[in-house]
Amino acid sequence: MFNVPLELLDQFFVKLMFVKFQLPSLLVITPVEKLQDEINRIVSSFGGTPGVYVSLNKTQRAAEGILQKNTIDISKLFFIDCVSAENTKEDVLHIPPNNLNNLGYAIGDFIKEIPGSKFLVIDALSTLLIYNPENKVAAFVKELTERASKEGVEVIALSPSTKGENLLNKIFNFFDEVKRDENEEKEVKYEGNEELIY
Amino acid sequence: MKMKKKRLNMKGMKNLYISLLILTVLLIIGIFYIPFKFQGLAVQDGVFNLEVEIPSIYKTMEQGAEIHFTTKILNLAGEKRMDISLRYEIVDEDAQIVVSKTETMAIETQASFVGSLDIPEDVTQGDYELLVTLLVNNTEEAEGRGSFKIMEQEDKTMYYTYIIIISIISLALIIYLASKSKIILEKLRTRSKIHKMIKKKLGN
Repeated sequence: MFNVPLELLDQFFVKLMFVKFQLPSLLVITPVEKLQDEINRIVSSFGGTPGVYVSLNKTQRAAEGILQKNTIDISKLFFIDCVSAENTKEDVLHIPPNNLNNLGYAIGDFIKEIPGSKFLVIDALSTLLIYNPENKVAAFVKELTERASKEGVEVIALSPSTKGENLLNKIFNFFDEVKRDENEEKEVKYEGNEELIY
Repeated sequence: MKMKKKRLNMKGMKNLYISLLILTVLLIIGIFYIPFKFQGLAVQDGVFNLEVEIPSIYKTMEQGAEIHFTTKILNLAGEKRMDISLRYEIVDEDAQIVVSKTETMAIETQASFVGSLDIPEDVTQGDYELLVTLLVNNTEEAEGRGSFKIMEQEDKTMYYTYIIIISIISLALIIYLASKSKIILEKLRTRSKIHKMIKKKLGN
């Protein structure tokens, strides 16, 4: 009776999902040695969906190489390189990691300009602590997750499970889901009377 | 009849001679006296022509300021160089002399001098006159006048304070706007680059 093209139906359900369901934001805490594998898995799970990759612990060139080596489609992946000092490529955005304002604006512009569904991946979130105060990073993450949630963008932030830092404890509340490596030996850490998440 | 006529003629001739004698004496006196008199008169009334000019910017002065003026002298009769004195006086509405100064100079036929007088700090505000008197051998020969006003000296301390405050605020505003504009420019550059990247990859 109704001959609705599949493409239109797809778009309808995607839009419905955006409207009805807020796409989750995910914080992945993983050991350093497994960080790249997680990144590969997450990026490849999005298939050909356009996305933004914020690279905080390796250059865009290195990150791109690893993804390509793992035959991951990066044709619609936009890189924000926070490691390289100078503008090396025209199609890569270089933003210093201590310029959180500009990084926030850039991510916001990408989210706004990329049409349709998209995702955001931030690798090695705790690297920002090297260049910025902890509270400033926490505020940045909060703003980012709120913005992404409003725009219907799935955010995946990864962080190596480090010791002695409170950042993850501060930001885990901003994410819908926190995923810890299942095989990681869970060692309950306390700071005062408060149990630390990592 | 003839005798009467003759007597009359004799009498008339005598009167005539007396009249002529008196006229001659008067003429002689006149020749020596009148030129001298006229000479004096000429000196008092106009051998020197003196004009005083106060420029418009000095027409209103403050207490303690210095007034400048021009004195133009024309020596109508003089042919040789002579020494003169110029006495400058500021007089108030009651013709009281407030300040006085004398300068000596030499002139020939004409001269123009720029003079100045310091107005005392303690004069009251009002209308004043600048009186310039030309003296030759301590004799007043000509006079010129110019009028001006003296106003109370403004307290410029507050004025300068306002200027400094406004300058500091302006400087702070300029620095703030410059820093803001840098941020805005950076944002615009980033946005432009992002737009190009998306257009290139996604072909929008």
